[in-house]
Amino acid sequence: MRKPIFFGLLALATLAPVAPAWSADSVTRKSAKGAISGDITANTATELTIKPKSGDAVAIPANDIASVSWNGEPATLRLARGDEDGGRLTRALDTYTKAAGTLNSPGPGLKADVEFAIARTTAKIALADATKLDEAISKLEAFRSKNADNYNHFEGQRLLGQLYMAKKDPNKARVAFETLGKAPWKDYQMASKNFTARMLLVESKSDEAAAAFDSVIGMKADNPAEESQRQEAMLGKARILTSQNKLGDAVNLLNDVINKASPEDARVQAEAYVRQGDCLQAQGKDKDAILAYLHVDVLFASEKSLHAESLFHLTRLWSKLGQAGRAAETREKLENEYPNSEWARQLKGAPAEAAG
Amino acid sequence: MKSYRLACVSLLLWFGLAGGLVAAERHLEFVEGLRDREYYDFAVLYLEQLEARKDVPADVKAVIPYEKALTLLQGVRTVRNPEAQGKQLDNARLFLEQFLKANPTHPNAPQANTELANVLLGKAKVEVQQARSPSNQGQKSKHQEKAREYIAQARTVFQNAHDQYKAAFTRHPTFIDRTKDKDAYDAKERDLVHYIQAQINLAIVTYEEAQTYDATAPEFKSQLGKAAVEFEKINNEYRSLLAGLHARMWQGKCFEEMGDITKALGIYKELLSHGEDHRGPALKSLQDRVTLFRFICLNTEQRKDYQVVVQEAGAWLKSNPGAERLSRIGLGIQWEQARALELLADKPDANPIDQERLYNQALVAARSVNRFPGEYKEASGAAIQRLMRKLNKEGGDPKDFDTAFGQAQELFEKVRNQLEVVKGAQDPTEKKKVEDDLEVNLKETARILSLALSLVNRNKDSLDNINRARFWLCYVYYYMKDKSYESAILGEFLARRYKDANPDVALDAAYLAMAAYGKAYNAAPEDQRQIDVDRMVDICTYIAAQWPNSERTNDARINVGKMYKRIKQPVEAAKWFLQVPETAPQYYNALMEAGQAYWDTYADASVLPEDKRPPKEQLDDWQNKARQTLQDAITKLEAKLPKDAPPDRDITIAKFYLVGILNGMGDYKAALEWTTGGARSLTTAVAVAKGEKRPASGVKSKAFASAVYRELLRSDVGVQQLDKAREAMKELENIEGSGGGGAAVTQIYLKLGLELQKEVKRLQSANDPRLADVLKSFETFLDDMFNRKEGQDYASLVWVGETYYALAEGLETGDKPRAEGYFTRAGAALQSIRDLAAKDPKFIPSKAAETAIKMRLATCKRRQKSFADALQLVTEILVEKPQTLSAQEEAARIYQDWAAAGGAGDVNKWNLAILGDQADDAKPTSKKKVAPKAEAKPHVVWGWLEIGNRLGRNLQQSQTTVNPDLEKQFLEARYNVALCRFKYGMAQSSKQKKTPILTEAMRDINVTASLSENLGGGESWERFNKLHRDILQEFHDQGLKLNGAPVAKITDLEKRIKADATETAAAPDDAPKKAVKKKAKSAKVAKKKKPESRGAGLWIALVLVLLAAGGGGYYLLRVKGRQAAADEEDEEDAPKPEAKKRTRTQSS
Repeated sequence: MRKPIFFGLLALATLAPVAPAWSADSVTRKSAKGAISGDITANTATELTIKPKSGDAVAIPANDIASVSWNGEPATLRLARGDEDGGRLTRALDTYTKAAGTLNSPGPGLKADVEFAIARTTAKIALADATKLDEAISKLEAFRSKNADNYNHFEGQRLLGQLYMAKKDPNKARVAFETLGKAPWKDYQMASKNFTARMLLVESKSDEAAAAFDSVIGMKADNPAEESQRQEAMLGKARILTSQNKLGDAVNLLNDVINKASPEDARVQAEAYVRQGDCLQAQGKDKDAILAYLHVDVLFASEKSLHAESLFHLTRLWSKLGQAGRAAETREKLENEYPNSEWARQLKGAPAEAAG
Repeated sequence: MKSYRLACVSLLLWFGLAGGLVAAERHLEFVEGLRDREYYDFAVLYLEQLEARKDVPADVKAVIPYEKALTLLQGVRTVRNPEAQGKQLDNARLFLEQFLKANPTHPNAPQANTELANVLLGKAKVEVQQARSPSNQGQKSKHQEKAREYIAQARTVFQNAHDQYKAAFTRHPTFIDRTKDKDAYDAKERDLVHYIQAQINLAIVTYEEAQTYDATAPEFKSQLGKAAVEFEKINNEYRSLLAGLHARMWQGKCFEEMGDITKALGIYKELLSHGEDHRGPALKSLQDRVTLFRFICLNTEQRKDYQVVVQEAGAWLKSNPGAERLSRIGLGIQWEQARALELLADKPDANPIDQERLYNQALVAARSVNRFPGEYKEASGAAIQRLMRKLNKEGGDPKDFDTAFGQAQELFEKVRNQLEVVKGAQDPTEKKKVEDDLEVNLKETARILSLALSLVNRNKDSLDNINRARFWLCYVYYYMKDKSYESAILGEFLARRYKDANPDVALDAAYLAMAAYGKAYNAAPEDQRQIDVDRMVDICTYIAAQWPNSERTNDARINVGKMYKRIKQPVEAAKWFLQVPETAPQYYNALMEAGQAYWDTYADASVLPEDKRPPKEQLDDWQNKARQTLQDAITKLEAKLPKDAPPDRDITIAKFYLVGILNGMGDYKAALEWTTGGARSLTTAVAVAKGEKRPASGVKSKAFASAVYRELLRSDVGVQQLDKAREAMKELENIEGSGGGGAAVTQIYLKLGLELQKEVKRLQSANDPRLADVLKSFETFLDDMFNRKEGQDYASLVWVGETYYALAEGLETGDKPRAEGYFTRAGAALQSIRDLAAKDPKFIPSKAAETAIKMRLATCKRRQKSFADALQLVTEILVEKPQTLSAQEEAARIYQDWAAAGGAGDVNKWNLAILGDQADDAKPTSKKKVAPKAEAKPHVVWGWLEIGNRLGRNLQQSQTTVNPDLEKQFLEARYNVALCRFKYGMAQSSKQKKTPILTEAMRDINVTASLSENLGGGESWERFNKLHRDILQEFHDQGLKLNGAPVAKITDLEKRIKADATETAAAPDDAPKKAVKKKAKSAKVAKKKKPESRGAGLWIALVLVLLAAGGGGYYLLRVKGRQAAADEEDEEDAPKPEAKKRTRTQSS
């Protein structure tokens, strides 16, 4: 049997239609449970201010915002957000786009949010599909130019930097990451350093990159976001160790990342497993490598680029182990879900027998 | 029937995931994901790694055995070999037990208990799979019964869980305010989930029980109907929950399997209409499955909505381009689309262009499915080959292995279906037709498979498929005539060469090889069988070494044991039987077989002539081992049961065998103890409540209970408990019932008599001093019964008569005077019945019984040498019913014995024995004198010659198969013709008179020998041979000329065996027919024979040969216009002399 069929089904979920639209603005914070409802009264690059029905207005730093719902927003936006969170990016993009068409005299905040959501989703898709890079960059640049004072501003810079990096445009990437580093929050600054170090790595400046990663690793993390950046830096360090063929050290470091990073930190976890898989593969531990890559396929498939990478390796490894059926399965998945990724292209270039 | 078995349901895991374990790391979620992808091997590997790691939290480590069990339990579906499946399920059980032992209070503990029930359900599914396997058809019902046993055990567990969860749920208040008391609310929700789960589990059990019956069995439908009702009830109760919808879906599936496609489609349609506004992932998953089920229905012969499937499946695949189309459901939908495309193209009205396009599309779809592992791999592989053939424009034989393999697969399926039909066929004409078709198909399948194997490209073709082709060929050869060795060789090749690469195929092949050697053994002449025995033992040894714990291995051990038992090597037989391990389900059966092997060998060896008989020590050893082995079996079986447990079936059967042996050994006291002593005695085991109907089978059946009471009666007589013996008799009569004109009761005494007769013979042969005691005990009992006036009835007198008769027969060869005395006493009892019937016509329950009594009395009179009285009695029968074969035989025997016992005046009685009362005025050697005369007196007694002719005609009418009993009777008649002729010749005083009669006797033998292969073989051949030699000896000693030449040398009759290797190596049942065919051909009489009616044509030839042999013209005229059946005895109710007794003649 593939899956116990009643999993989640007996969750006593009724078949009632989805809840009606919100009757007020609402902000959900990363650092606290529950949402704050009221009227959003201010929206800047660094914070949102919300005035609850009773009590004083609350200013929420942009880096602590998990999600925002706007008064009068269409219910479909919730579905789109759900799809995006679940990694169903194409469907999410489609729903966001449709929702944008149904907005009836939206406030500027809602309008900008939907626009950013569309750009963000396109960017996520583009990170695993090079053909979408220009489109994503264009959308994010358009958002940036119109919404420089929006709470999504720095998040937009992070994505832009990543997109430019994927497009192999280091200058523009560097500009975006430098802007990111100007954010008033430590985790964003750490992220900026990490991205910069990665660019150094791409440019084969290993020592400089290692120093940059070490500087982040040496920083004290006061919250999960900052800890996540520390882990990112450790991942970068592991990459350097791998490139130096210090596989054992790299594996230990990666195990450390896997154990210390939040299990819900999909990006860090996904990369840690992919890198772990690389090391194990290089050590000739094919089965262990498969297990590492499978973590991404099973648990962190929302990290599209890394998912595509793990599928590529899985296809080759299954084939190597004589599991032709499984190799075909992962190959098909890679080609269907990431037809334009560099990994799918690499696979197409590989001899059929090697690729399953 | 497409098998979409219900998935095991495990809800606590859902709670587990929602609970604390997942918060630490996502170990278990990963394991679940691996299971989700059916990567069970890697899930186990990962769990093993977790077990070894030090950084894994204790709460995760605690559930590793539980997770392993779940993985093995779910993964069993991907294991092909039933043996491996059983092993995997056992391992799952061990892990669950390990988890429960270490964590009895763990939140997952209740679910672990439920999973134990799922293990049982899994075991049941394995048995169902075994039952459906064509190579297990002989064991089908055994596997189905076993499956039901497991299901019953699973139901008990699920029912207990259901009751507990229900009680827990109903203890909660009806309303709990979630905001005020969240904990109580959550607890109630949790209990509700358990309760719903438990209800679903019970419905699943009912569904699975349906699968344990053949799809054609009424129970299959009734159980599915019951499951449908149970699912419906769950749906009605929880229709707003997704669980309710799932129940509804499986209700639809039940209707689908019951053949009610319309109802099923209605339910599926309803389910697909839910959540039109928005479908969450869970609802979508359910609806995808429903979509697949709907396509299956639409693709049925009933609906033929192929176009709809093609379109809708295409739409589904378009909207599910990602991983979903590669999921199990996605592949299922692609597969149904491929099927629909092919079926659409198969439509007779499809135009050739569309047809080719559709076949091509179907091929593409099938190939797409075939790329992935899973349940559609095999079917899509076959479809690819089939479609390639359909698209093959060249025609003719396949040109590559894949195409040939696909073609062979279809043919093989056809063969399997035909074998099923043959097995179930009731109508002989229909059966013959299917058998003929089967024969053709077997040949063609073998040809295509051989072709496929010759086309193998080692670099390209799958080894798995190559070995499957080999196995199929092995299987096909097994069912073909004269291909046993080919089957065995191929089977051995696979078993030995590919035991690692294809272990499941290898085991099946090994088993088949063993069966093929067994078949070869049966077909081989007795003196050429050792090689088959050796090979059989060899392959069985190999099976036992390679798969020591397989059930097949134990079956193999038992088969080899049986084979040794058959060739009277009890020590070897027991050695094999005793290799079956105690843990195997066949263990006790094996022990009983071992015990029986010792006993049968003892019983057979003890009656051998003294020079061939093993030493007494050996006989005693076998006897004691028989007793000891069975006693051991019973002791072990009883030790497993609680003291107050009711009698167990296996124990009862073992005790019954033991009692038989103890009675045979004369230890009546011990036999009585086993039969009547203790709470689990035999009599307790077979008892039924007053008025309760006995079942058709099992230890409480009439047949078994009757056998038990016969043993009891024997023991009672042995210890001279005459009153008890009479009680046992009464109980026997109660068991058999009083209907049928006393036939049933009579049958009991006949059986008893035969058993006694065997015993007496054995004791006599062995010079056992117990013989006198046995005879004495019976004499006392029988005389007591005979002389008793009170309660004297037909049954008791029949018992006395038959028992004395049996004793007399048993003693006849060793103690004639005593035997004659017993015949006299038997006659007295039978005469007493006639006397009482003269006063009260109702004393004998039926007319048929009256005839039978008269017959038996006639035999007794003959044995007492009161020939005139005997003839009088039998003539009375024949006047009334001239075609009663047994009476005709008795009449001929009376003349024969009369001639042998009489003086010079009785010489012509030999003629009467040969020609019957027609010979009053005739001489037996003159063909002219047997012609009918217009004024001839009524021909009442036929004599041996006409009996033989009529039996020949009767055999002729058996167009398809030759009845071996009928053939024995035929040979008996023909032997007596020759014997009487020889005796008559010997009685002649002059050489001139003697020579033609002895020549005629020799001719009788030669003609018979030319018609019957080996003259029946064994003792029958030896008897003819001895007569042949005696005649030659007489020619030689007297200097007579045989066919004009003196006899210089006394030679044996030629042993005619295996005249044509291609025709005679089949099963022994076929042998007589074939031999007759062959010899008739050689006699060059029946030149025109149609291949399709060989049996009939050859028997016509036989009759013609007989007619040509002498006196035939007359008989041909005589038999014209008569009913063909030679034996029209209407004696079902009457005591019948055993057919085998007819082989003995007084004079011989």
